[in-house]
Amino acid sequence: MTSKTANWEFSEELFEEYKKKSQIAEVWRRLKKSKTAMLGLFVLTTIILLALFADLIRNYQSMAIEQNIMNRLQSPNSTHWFGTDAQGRDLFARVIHGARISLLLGFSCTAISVFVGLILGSVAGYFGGKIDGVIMRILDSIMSIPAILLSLAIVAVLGQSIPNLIIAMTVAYVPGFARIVRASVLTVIGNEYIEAAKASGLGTFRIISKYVLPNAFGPIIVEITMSVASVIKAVAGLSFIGLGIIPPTPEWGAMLSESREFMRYNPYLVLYPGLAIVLTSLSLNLLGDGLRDALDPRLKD
Amino acid sequence: MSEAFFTIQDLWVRYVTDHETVYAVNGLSLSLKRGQTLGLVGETGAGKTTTALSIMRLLPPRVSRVDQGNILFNGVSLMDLSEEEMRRVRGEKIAMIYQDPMTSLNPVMTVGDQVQEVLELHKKQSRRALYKRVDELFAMVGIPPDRKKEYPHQFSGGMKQRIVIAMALACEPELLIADEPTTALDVTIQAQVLQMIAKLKDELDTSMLLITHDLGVVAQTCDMVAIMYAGKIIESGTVHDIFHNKDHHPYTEGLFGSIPKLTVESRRLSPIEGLMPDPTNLPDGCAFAGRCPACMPICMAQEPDYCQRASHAIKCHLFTGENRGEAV
Amino acid sequence: MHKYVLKRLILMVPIILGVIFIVFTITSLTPGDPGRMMLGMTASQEAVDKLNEELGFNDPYVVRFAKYLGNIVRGDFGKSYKNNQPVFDEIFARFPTTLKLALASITVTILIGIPLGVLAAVRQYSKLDMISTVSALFIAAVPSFWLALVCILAFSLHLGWFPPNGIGSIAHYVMPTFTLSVVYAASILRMTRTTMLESIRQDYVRTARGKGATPAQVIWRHALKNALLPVVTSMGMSFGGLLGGAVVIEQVFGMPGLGTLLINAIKMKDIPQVMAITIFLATLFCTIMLLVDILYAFIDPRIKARYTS
Repeated sequence: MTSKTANWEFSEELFEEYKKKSQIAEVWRRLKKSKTAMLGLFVLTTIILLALFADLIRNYQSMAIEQNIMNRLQSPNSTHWFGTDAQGRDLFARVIHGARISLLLGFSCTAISVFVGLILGSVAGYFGGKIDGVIMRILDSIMSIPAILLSLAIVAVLGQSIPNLIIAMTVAYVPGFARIVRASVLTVIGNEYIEAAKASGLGTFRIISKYVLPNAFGPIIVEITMSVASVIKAVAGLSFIGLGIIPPTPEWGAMLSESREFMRYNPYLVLYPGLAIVLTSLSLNLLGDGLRDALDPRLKD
Repeated sequence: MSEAFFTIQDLWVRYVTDHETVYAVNGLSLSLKRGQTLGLVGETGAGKTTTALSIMRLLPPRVSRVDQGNILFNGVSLMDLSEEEMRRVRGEKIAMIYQDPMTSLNPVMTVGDQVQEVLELHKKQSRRALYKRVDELFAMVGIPPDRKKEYPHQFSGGMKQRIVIAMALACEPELLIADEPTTALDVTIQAQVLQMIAKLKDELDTSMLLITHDLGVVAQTCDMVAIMYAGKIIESGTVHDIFHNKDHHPYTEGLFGSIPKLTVESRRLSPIEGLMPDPTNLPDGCAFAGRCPACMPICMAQEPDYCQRASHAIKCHLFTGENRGEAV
Repeated sequence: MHKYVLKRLILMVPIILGVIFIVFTITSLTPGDPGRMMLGMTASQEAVDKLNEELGFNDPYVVRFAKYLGNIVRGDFGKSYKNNQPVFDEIFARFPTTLKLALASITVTILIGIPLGVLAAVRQYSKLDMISTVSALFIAAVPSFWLALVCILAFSLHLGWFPPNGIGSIAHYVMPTFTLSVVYAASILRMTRTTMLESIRQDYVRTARGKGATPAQVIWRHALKNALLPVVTSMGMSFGGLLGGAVVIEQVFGMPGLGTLLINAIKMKDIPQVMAITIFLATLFCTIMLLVDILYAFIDPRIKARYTS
């Protein structure tokens, strides 16, 4: 009897595994058909590679940080592809090293938000009742503070540093993910197979991870791409108003802020960091859009 | 009176998507005399709804292609009308009752407004007359007129279908197309709604194209019958022809075999074996050949012509050419 | 309907309480020394300690929170560390600027986003659709403060069409409104397009066409009203984002609104002022969402029914 059950479970898991794989393959096949999504993926990969190998391309200390007044405000040329800033630092070096910070913050904030959102959302949805009520009220409260204000307040209180910035962003982005997860938990929870799984003595954690989360996978992955872009823009905004990353660390928003007074005669100073933000978030949005269509092809003709 | 006022001649409709081409209607012809009811019978996927939407010119844009054919209404080709002229035909001259009342009503408009809209579109009249007419229409389909301020979600499926009927009959159209009007309803109210349609149709002297897959319904309400298979009419005639003549298309025989008869003692129904041919890849020859119990070699190779006997037409090799007379 | 509004108003209370709780908790973590902030660097340590004690800064967290709540109920949000004036004096002085900017922006957002979204959906795959969806996609990726910089560079510094900062005239509001709204207009456009595409495929739209309704009636009367529901919600959400975005945009254009006040307060660690602004804007946002919900019920009778029955 025992061996029989084990056997049944084994094959079922295998089946699940197979189903998951073929689903991913199917989504990938549809995603590949979207030219814009592929363009987004390509641009994003390029930016990630530039960020990863930034040290090999341009030295951080000597090119992006150290001031070199002799070289200040040079227009783009063959040595300084994007020109130099008011401190004589190579703008290209600063932009690619800036990509590191932006992507790091974008992905880490999103990853933590997803993780916390998964826990809060599944707990709220699965247990319901009072626990759900309390969690959702708190999340609602957080959501009724415009994200940037909340982050501002947190950074103001905790002080300006990268970890504090991550905390500030994460608090603002958790509610969105928690809501998605909770919604998918609620759609799944009433189904008979959950009752069956409960009756067969499957633990709460296993039920959530096995049946509930796969359902939330699609919307979450789309939300992730959008949220990375949004975090990057928010960090740039905070740094721009002087409450995010502190100069001389090369962050796109901070660079724009530093360039303001020189932009009239050196427009390239605001062009390149700005374009870096636009390209990064555009590539993520394109990818996210493509993923949404690939996961839910119903909207296409 | 006996002249056909509505005819479809050799209609071909395809749906073309990136992946495939669906041949939905393949050379369909039929005609309807004033005041009569024609039952268009066939399985799901036979192309009945496509035919109805072709008449209304409401086929989904972009994917649908009308390759050939003509639809004549009072001697005018509907195909040649401009979109604006066609708009004036819809709802006023030709109206339609849809399959699923749950989704055919606009959820954010009151039902009264939705009925009233048809009148506003086609019949210029004073506000007072307009409101009075809406009340009349509601009363006509058996809904208390004071409920016209309510929204679709406040009505049951049967009630919603009555509202759709009121909308369709508001302008007393010359032709009413009813596309499986009772399929989505509870069995208990199907008969009610159907009787109401038949009664109102007679009262308003409207002709009707009744699309259904239910031969019982046809026997009760229709004057003429056309049986459709894979986008073609394979047998047509008067109700008497279809229900009482001896010779039938094997598919029709099959259809009759699949409904229980009260007069004949039988242990079980005999459903037609197999499935309709894949509409993306129709066979040469007769489309029914693959399922036909009387299939002959010629059926696989050559499409049969109609064998016309008075009002009764059958599209089958059993009754045409040298095979004539071999039929049982 | 009154019952529904009342219900929603009551539901707002715990949310606002939650906001106050969150803001209070965050700010109570501040390492700063309020007494020192108020008295300045020259004051003696005794005087600072005495003030801290008097104002209750040494009380336990729960006591302080209860006191703060009690004061708020009486309409007292505390005094600014900076000028020792009630914090709301400054807020009310600055709010009109922010409100004007936000209202102008949301109006422009709606006027651009919805009609273009509808047209793009109705003419799916047309040139207009391609252009508007591609540019919307692109614009949605543009941070509004960068767009603001580019606008200043082009239209103020080079062309001299609009003043680069200040709030003296309507011309001063043109660029801030444009830069703030265009991003949200892009997202509303995309959303309207998606919901319209879904809505024009519905059976009731076919019914409307079957009645002989004109294309304009079919689109604006039947399809749009159904498509608007998610858009309305998203518009409410955008308004929150817009309030936040205004903080940054005011800074770029040197507008003396709430955003500028907030950022200065943050930089000066003027905690009562920061708390009051945050709570004020959050309450404003909640009120907007309440209005959106009521609007929602007006558009969709099914939702109205759920609350009135």
